[in-house]
Amino acid sequence: MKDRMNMYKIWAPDNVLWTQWTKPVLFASLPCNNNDGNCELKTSNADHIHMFDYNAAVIVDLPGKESVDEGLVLAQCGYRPVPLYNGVYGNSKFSMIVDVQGIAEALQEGADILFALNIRADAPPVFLLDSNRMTGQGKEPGKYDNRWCVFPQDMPSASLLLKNGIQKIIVRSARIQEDLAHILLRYQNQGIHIFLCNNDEIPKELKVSKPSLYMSLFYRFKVTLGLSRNATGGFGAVIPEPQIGWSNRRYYGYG
Amino acid sequence: MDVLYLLEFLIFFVSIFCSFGFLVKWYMPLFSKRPLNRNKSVRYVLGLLPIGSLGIILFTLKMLASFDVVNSFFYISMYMVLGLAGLFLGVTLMSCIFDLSWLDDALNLNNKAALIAVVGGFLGLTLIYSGANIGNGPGWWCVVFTGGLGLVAWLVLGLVINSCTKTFERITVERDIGCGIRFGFYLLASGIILARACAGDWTSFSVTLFEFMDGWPVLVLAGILILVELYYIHRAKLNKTNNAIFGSIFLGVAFIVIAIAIVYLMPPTSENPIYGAVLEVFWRLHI
Repeated sequence: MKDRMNMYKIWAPDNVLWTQWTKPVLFASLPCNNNDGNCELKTSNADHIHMFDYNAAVIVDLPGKESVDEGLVLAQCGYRPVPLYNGVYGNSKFSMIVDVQGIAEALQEGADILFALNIRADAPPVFLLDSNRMTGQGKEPGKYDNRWCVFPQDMPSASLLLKNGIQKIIVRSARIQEDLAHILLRYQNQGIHIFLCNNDEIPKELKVSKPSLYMSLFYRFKVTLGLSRNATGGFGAVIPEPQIGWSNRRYYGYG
Repeated sequence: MDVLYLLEFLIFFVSIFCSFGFLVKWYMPLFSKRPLNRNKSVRYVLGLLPIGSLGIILFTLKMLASFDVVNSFFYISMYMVLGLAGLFLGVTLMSCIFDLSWLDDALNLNNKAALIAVVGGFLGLTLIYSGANIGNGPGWWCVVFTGGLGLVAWLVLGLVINSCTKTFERITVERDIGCGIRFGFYLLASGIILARACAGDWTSFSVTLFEFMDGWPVLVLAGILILVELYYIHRAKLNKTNNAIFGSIFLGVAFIVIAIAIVYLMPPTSENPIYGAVLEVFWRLHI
């Protein structure tokens, strides 16, 4: 069994450039789990992106633990997985709007696999996102709202990627989500080629369409207003349930 | 008269509520358990900021504030918590208007460029509020009005700089430390000049607006920063290294020196003769 700190250190070693973008939120809230260390690496459908390309970074935007599995497969090919999950693990699996249980378990199991791999310090990154990050009905009373979003500040800038020889980005996903489009369009405008790869398809170059509030100063503020911040960082908080008090007036309490 | 006292108590308690909320929101993430200790220095810097700011405000209130404030425990407490509430407003406006968040960028993302800009901004806001407290005045609304003028000017100039040079994007997304240093020092330097513009005895709203124009050199400072940033953007386009930290520190210190020199070279703050007479009565009553 590994403690949270050790697990985080395996996923985000100090000597690697890209790991400064690793989000500690999910690691900090992980439940303690006795891991026997006998983990099997899942196979992936998209074998054609697993040919290591030193000039390419990958963004894996798949649902739940699939994204971690895909990241680990790419890690075996020489990429450096960078988890960007920013939703907090709630108290109960059933109360969470975005179920991060699978991701949490995969990160714990994957730490052993990653520990055994000898990934170069200058390996190109594979950024891991959960495509279910914004699913759910919004702020449902009584639920743990851990929906989250990825912002341009959460990923390296285009100039840093170019400076480190990254000239193309392969997005492993069924579609480009709105929040990711904000980042990808910035990359595209700086001359980085964007490719989309879904399951068995060969990566196809993509022209990212302009999302709403692109480059707006108020974009991040507006989006975070609709989400529930966690006091310790990341996103996740219990939505208070409306209750009827003695005065027949509605008030909000926690629980 | 009673209504005015009641209003002061109301302002005092509302400010206590706001500043308590601000301190909880500020310190809770700093003390939270995280899996990595690499941002310890960030925590120390952010943790000391409100304390340092309160020290500056306290010094101003004890030394330079209105004659009825300097020796009054109630007024000093009231203006200190009002200051904390004002800082809370300023930091929130920095997050939503500048897209420069102390929590997201400086603490959670460990962005050093943002940290420097946030520190400069926080101290600049503190100085503007402190400047608004300098001089005699009949009540808290003078401080709120002059401080509000300074805050609006400070925010508008920040937006103008950003519209010409994309400063906020370069700090938060590009993590350009040089840009963070220059902008952070600018925010502090502009805070010094605007603090001087906010200072002085209260006469009326229209006269205060007129006296606030003493802060015009801040426009020159903003213009210099725009030219400097355009130069650095041009350098970046030529693929020259843009990580000129020493040059940026030198420029930042130059901004501060210029701002202090401007404050010293300016004529003394205008005084309202009515307060001379009030002061005389005040001292006679005390003696």
